[in-house]
Amino acid sequence: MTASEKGGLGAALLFAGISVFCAAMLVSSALISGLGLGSMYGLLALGFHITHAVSSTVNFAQGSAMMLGAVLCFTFWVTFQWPLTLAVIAGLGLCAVWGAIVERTAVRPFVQRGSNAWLMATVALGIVLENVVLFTFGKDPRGMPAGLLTTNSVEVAGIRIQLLQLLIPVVGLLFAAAIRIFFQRFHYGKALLAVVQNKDAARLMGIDVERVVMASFALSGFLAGVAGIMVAPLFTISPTMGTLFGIKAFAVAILGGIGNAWGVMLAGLIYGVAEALIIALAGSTYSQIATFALVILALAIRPTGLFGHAEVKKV
Amino acid sequence: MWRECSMWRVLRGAPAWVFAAALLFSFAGGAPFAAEPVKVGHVAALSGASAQSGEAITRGLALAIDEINAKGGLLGGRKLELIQRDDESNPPKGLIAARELIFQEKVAAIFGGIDTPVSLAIVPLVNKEKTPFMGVWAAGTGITRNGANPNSVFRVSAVDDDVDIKLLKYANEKFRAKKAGLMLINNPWGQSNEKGLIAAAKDNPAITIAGISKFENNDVDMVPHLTRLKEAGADAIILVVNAPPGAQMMKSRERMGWTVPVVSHWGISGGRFPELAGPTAGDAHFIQTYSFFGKQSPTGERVLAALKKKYPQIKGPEDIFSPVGTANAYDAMHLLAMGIEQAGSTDANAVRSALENLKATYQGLIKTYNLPFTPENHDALGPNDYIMVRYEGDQVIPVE
Amino acid sequence: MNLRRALAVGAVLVGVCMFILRANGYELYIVALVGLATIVGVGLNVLLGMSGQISLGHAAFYAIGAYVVGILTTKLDWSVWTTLPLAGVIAGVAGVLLAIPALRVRGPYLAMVTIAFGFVVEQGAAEWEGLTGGWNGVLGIPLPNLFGFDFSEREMAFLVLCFTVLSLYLYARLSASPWGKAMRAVRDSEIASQSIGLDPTLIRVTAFAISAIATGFAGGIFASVTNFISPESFPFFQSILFLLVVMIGGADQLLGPLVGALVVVLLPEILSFLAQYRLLFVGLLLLLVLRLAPGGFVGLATELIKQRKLGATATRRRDVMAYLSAGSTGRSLSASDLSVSFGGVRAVDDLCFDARPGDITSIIGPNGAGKSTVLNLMCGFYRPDNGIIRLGEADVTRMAAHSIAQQGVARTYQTTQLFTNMTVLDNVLIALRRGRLGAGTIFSRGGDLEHQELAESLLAFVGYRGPLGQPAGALPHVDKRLVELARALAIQPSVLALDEPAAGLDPADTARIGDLLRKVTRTGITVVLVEHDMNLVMSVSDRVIVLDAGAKIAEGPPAQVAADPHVLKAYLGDEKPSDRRRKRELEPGREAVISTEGLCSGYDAVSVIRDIN
Repeated sequence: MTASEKGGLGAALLFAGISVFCAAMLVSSALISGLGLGSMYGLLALGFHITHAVSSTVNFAQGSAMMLGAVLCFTFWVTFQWPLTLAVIAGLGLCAVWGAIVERTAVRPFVQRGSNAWLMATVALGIVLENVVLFTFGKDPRGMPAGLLTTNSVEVAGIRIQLLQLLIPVVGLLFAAAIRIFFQRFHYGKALLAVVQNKDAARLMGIDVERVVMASFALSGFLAGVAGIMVAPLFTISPTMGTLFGIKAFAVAILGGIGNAWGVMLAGLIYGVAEALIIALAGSTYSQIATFALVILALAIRPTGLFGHAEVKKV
Repeated sequence: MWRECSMWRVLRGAPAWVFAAALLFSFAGGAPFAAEPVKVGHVAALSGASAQSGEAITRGLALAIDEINAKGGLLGGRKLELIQRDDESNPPKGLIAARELIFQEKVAAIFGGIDTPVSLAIVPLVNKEKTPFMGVWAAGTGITRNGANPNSVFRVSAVDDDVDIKLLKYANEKFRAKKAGLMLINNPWGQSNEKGLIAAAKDNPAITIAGISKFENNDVDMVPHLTRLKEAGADAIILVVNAPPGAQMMKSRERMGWTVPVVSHWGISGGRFPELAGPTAGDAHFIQTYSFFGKQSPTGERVLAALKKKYPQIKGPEDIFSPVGTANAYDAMHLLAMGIEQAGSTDANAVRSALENLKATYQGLIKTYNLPFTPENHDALGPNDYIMVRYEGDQVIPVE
Repeated sequence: MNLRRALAVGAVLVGVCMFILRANGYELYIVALVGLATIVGVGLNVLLGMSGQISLGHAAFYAIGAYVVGILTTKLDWSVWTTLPLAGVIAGVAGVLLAIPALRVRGPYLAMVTIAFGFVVEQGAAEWEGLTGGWNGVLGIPLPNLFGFDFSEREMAFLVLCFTVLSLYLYARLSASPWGKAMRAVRDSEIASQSIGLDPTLIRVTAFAISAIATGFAGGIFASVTNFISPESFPFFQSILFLLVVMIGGADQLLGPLVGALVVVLLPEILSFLAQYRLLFVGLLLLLVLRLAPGGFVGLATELIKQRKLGATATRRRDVMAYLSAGSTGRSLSASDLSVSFGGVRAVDDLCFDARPGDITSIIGPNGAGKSTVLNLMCGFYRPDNGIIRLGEADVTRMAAHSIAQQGVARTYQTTQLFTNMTVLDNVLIALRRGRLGAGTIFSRGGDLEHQELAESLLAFVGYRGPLGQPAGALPHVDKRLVELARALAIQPSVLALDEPAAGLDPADTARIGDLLRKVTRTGITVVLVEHDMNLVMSVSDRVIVLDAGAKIAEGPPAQVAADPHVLKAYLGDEKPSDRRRKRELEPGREAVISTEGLCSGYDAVSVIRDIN
């Protein structure tokens, strides 16, 4: 980890430590749900990070991938009555496919042309998916049936926590760690890193750069699907559930410095907890204003994100 | 130099202009001729969270229209035609839809939708254009009691002020609650009920308000809000919200392990509340104007049979979702038809006067209507017409 | 030609007026919406099309304008006429305020700032109940009143039509004005625009302000037209729709917003039976447009219809030497103890040098010696860690790049940084002002005859023989170099710094560049040349400075430096060729591992290798 990453981690731990000391049930419960949601923001933001790193683009269809994961899992499990494991695997697989589709149709043609239109193209694709789901899945929000993860709770220091709420941040961090290991130990992961650092050199080394880029988008879709499936039991599932979530995750990615994997994950946790604390203490009515205003402020002070670092421009 | 101005270069592209002009003119060209059928419009949430309720209203209207058309229609053989527009629970969209129905489709009357904010936005327009507006769900007090003279807004549905009185009374009588905690959605409907509940608490010595918590549609975790109320000593929760956030509230309450009684407005009955809220859905007692369960009146039997015939997936009362929408709309359509017949035309002023002075008696679904509207009161239903129900599984059963 | 176009415009306007006269209330409302969407689109076109900044939060300015009119007319009973301009002004101020954090960020970060702004305004309107009525919104916003006569929907439609035409007209004027060109320059290459004295911050903020004013003004009219506004009238999605208006029509096209507004607003109404598929349709349409017609509908139409008039070639009408002599102030460019490090690597180490007026001072050195870094330091693109840079007597060390350019330091770049979407002539024209735009010229007609002739003359002076109307991005390599040189000379510099001007040029063109440089020095300009091409360096330089690993290792006249053993060592290394032996002996007569047959390739239009076997 670089110095700024270490500093960020330290700040986050300090922040988390202070938060933990707040004994009121109000705040602790907010903390738990904040950590949960925050780690899911972080997963989505990790997806933003990966695709940005390999292609220097921001995938605005990421939120829709998250929604797709939740919708597909529900459809396979509840409507088609498939076993849960199969539903999850199929759902995640299709999310990965969607990620690849996004890359092929909305990113590659424009990057190759040197145009910036990928931004609006990914937005457009997100709109298209949302509407297609609207007509197939239906307009009513649906709820995941209660499973053993939601009905069972544990009691910790006087607060009841659902098993699912405990599981979510754990899963989030596990995935982040897994991604890190994948990049460092596995051949394909290293190929991805190579593409990130120098596309031309990677090509010369025999790495199929186009395929790597597409794979990274698929991976990002997969992560979004995981986030969607994990939070679906907490929310209601509807075609529009991904938009706001995606925007917040984007804010998280930006705050974390979109080029920094750990920073992005940490920023997610901080954002989730901050949001939950604001809701608990000041009421939910101001939470969106406060969090987005903080985002603007943070970017005004540190234009490359809290954990990012400025690049030296080669002129 | 003008020559260099890119405007002139582009203007050479005459096809672009032709295209634009064609668009404009094709749009204008669709001016309708004088229509034979009597058109009535319907603006409601046909998509989004309240879509089910919107569909329920549609069914009630459709059923009544079928009956009226089967008997020969109105005004000497003119058939009734329903024109629907989706407001997506969004006031500006509802306003545009209402405009279109009034000016473009030239409807004789407009039926309202689920959301109070949308209806509130449309009220000034219909009052200005004097198009009769019939509310069939949205309960905001200010919709019918809007201070306009003449007032073109009528309603066959619950009224928030009266509902609020009933909710507090029920919480006190059924659950012996003394301090009510209010959980309200942060929108005009929530605000309307906040006023109503505070006024009702003033008039009811047996119960006071312990605290008020407001939350947003998108909120996931209501535990902080509930905790605040719990710490203020609330022994009953009065809930005013639609199904999805209502479900979140129930889930949060379950997570806290708090078994406080929940008395709710009917917002939670639109949408798949039992599915979204999970096992504790049945803990919420809520208000309705009608139930298809239990012994039905002759009208009720007839409507039930017609519903089963027209919508084959309905095998029994448990398959009828958002029944208040269907019931209110059915009665409202019949009352409007009576008004048009009595007025002898679709002229807005005539219809309005006729409605305020309906001579015939109508054996409706919810009740028998005798002079349902007067110049002072445009609400056909009152506190005596409300019933309390709760979910048992997917069924809605009366609790009184 | 003029008459035909005027007639076409007139015919369309007459048609629209007739439609408005017989339309019903709903149709009038839709016409008004189309007009308002166009006005917002024009404003957004200035921001996105002209200055290349994306905003995903423009609904916020629309909302601000609408609420200003709504609140002032309902609470304070002000007239709509007074509140409308106020709506534009307040929205403009908000735009400037937003620009402050927005300017520090680029690309996705900028998108995030604008999205966040959009949400803050929408939610703020919902929460600030006392002012905005909260979720209930503002009801009963009146229509304007003229001489005691209340406007109806019909008059509003006419009013909106007038403002729509006005906004398109102003866009055309801005487009042709120096400010418009400056915005495009900053969009195409922020770096290069700084080196001709343009202040990107000022230009970007101005673009934001103009865009916000137009959008706020339209929002104010919207409030009066719909007579009811609430936070739900301005969701995030509205910002996306505004962007769609610009992109479907065509960014940086005059009529783009109009066509886009027609498609985005009208089409869903016409196809109202497809109403629920409206958004799907619009999303797919945008994707198609982006893939197949990136210039939008209007861009596509112009490509198909008009023949590109590239214009004449340059003729010399003005005395360029006199022009350049007038500008060169005979100041030297010097540095003392100049150092800078990047991430631990000392790129330039305690450098001292002095480039004198009328001389060509060359900086050479092996790859990675820090030559370009020195140039960037001198021109203000990098800030040194210590040391002083002087232009004549003045200390310019801490000055911003565009300020240094305004002082008279011009430069070219290793990879040409032309304004690719502007014509060759415009590239040079815009440099003539040396970044001084002046507030009054914002809607001026531009195209001053004297400036045009000067620009043409400069292009002829450097030897550019292509058409003037050619977009700079489509030029062959050598022409790009020449145009960049002409652009640098256009600012009447005292110092001309060139970064590997001969890169990619054949010996004939290189020699021509050399002659040109010698000619330029006769005007008293100080020339600093960073080069690899030894022939050029040796033939034109008066003094040569040699760098290695950031430090100066030799300095003096070319011949002296060429013979310096330190220099030779830096370039060729210590090892003598004989020290390196092959590990394995060559085995002749084996099959080739790689072979080519008739291989040809090149850059752009220049054929570099021909028929290699």
